[in-house]
Amino acid sequence: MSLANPLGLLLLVSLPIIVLLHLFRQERRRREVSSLYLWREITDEHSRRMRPRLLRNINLLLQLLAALCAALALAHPVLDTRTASGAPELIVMIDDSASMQSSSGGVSRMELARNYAREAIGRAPRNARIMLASAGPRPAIVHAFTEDRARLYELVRTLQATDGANNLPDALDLVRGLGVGERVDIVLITDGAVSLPRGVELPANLEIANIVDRVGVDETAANRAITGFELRARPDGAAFEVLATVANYDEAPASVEFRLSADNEALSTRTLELDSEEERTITAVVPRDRGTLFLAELLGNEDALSVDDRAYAAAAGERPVRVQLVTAGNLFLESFLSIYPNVQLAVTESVDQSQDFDVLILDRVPAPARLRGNVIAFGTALPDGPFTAEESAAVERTITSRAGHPIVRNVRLEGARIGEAVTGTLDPRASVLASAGEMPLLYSYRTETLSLVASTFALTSSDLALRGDFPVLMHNILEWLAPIAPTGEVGYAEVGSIVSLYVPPGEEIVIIDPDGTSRRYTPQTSPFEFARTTRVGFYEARGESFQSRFAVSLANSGESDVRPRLANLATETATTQPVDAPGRALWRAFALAALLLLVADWVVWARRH
Amino acid sequence: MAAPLLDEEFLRKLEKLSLLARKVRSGPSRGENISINRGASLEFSDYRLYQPGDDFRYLDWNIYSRLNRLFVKVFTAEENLTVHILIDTSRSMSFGNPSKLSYGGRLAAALGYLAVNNLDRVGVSAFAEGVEHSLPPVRRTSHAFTIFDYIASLKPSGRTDFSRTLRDYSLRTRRAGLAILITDLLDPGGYEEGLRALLYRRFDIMLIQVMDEDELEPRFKGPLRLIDGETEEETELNVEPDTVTEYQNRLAGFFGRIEEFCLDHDIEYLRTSTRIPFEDVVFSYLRRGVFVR
Repeated sequence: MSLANPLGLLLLVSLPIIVLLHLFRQERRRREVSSLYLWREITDEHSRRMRPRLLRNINLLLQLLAALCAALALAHPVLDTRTASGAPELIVMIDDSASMQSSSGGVSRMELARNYAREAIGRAPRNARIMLASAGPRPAIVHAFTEDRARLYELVRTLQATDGANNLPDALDLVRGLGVGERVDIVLITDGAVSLPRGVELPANLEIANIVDRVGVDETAANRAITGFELRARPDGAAFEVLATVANYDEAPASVEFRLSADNEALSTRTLELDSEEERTITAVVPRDRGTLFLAELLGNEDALSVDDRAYAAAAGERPVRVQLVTAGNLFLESFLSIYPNVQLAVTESVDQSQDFDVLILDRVPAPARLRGNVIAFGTALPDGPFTAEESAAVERTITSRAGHPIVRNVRLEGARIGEAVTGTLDPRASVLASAGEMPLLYSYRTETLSLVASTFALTSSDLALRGDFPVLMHNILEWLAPIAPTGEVGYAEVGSIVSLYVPPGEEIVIIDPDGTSRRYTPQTSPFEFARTTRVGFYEARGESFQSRFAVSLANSGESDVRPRLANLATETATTQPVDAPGRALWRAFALAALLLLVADWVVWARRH
Repeated sequence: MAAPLLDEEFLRKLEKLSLLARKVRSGPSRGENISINRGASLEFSDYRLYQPGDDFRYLDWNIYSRLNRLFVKVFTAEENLTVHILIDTSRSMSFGNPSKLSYGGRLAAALGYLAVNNLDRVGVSAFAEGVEHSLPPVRRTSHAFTIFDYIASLKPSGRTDFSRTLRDYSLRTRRAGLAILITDLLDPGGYEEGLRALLYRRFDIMLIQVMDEDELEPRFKGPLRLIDGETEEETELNVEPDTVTEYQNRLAGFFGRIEEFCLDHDIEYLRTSTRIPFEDVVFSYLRRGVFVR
């Protein structure tokens, strides 16, 4: 805002004159508070001496305001609504998460959001540039800044609620990434069924338009949902353990019928009596031969949201992890690897590169040059690897491990005894996971063609294999290296997340989504990152030499609790206040305000006398 | 006869919940038949047969390779959770209607009942300038009624000295465990030192701050002489809308610093107002904050 006639502000000298005319002291009332701790911090010097006189009565306030408005009217203020880019800008962000599929006041929340978005776009200044964004499971810019209202209306009309949970923090990060900072107002249109992670702060320029609050419908939004569904192989490999969590987000107890099926065949059906706000986990043990595609359902469940009445999980790890153990003899490693339910172990005395393997373990054997893939090497240095061996030396220093690295998570190597290890030079690109002083003992190394975890000592020269930490270490290494979990832990992907498919590079594959839509891809690298996980259900990926099923589920307690929690942060959003065209003079508004204030002052005075 | 602290129906609902200490929360059990004797300290105690839902990390692979049967390791901490409930009974807690002390007392009674029901060892202490009275930790189901009687007898008095109280408490307590603090935290001396003293003694802390609605949104205005309920100190202030705004800003800053401190020090923190129905706090807010399951 600029002033066309700054001299008009000279009228502000009338303010102290009015104050002087009203000065007098007033008796104070006593009021007990729990503690003066926070009140005392307030600087009240000004309050004690000046405010009683300033704020003596309503007439004084009205007169001061009238004088202020008159001064501003004389100064001829001109409103400049243009930003540095030349026009006002606004981001309209729509929450298109699964909870928006439910209804409020008989209308779908997504429809209410679309209506509000149209209003917000319509109320923006004529020359405003507006961006449309979504804050669902995969936050996205639906359309970049534009003045083309027709295009925006068309896009708003086509927006649909997804099957996934909202992701407000990522949506805000996405907008922040555009570098708009806080100069552009963001209007988030949501149903308020949002659970913000701890520590996430909403920016000052974000204004929340809660469409449920706006409708003013006082409804409980009762919902019963499957909020967790996990499938994992038992360690003995004989069966799957299924864990399903059912929740009742209602103020009243509820009775729900829960059914678990595998490969379209019902395994069990039971009725659950759930208290208000209760979450219950149901476990079941299912023999492996009963199926690989698992479905948990709430039957006949008439509630606010239906997408969470079903949860899907798939035993995707049908193909075992193929491990080739090259050793002159290590009974411990052999027995240990054979107990993994999903490991197919081949023991050889030299590396057989004619066989495909997911993980190659070298135990004190010479390694061939130019190895590719996932390799674990105990007491073996790869000829073209990151470690150049020099000589053997006794390990005398205390062992320290690198905290936080996934390979040594929950592993305590500090107490292990290692007789001797090989000294040498390690490529700085390798990560040292454990060392004794300057001597690396365990390291990891990753290039485009090779993933390696190696020790500079032989297992036989240490007590590591006898310690309780060893199975955990091996498990961590296999998880870090192998594309398929060695324990066969399987389940589902969240809506909007990326699913890694280990397909042969260059082979054409077809992915069929739960709606039956097929899409063709020819990935050039493996794994192929599939991102179109927009709907819940079972997906199928097929190629000439490849077939896989995977599941996508909502199973999110925050999303299934569809009651609004994120309230309006401001009653008036930027878009609900029509902004005048740039450069509009405001003196008439101030003059009118001054006049009205004087009339009010007279009315108050007249009623008192 | 005074109205009971918690009615029977409420107690029945409580029996379905269990109190979560951080260690227990990260523990191995996750199935339907969760044992009450669970925990994850590093003090190994025993083995038991694997149950569906147990965490694979606690499987003993060595035993499996020898016996071909699955066993999980059990730790001693799971048998020994001690819950220390500390209620602030300083005069500032008498503020409001219902008073913060009455509200906090019911909260303490509910959490105490929950812990007793889980066969945890539960002690309750009232504090202001120091620990005024204590009910030593006991593991016995009938202890719940002793706790209720004790809480019902609490009367507000004295000034708060949070840091000294918690420091003394941490020093004189032999068995650390889960400390549930119910207080308004309105202590000019600060709360950090006291909480650090508990953390240093390896307490797992749940901090529940109880505020009255009048403290959050003061409804008085005009030229006033404000009197401190604890110290009876007075100060003159003209409470105008902007003064209230400034107060609320400072209050928000105060809350923000507490949240930040708790986040940094891994302390579970819940702020509640006496206006929020007590049952909602127990069944909804405490659950969302992962205090109880």
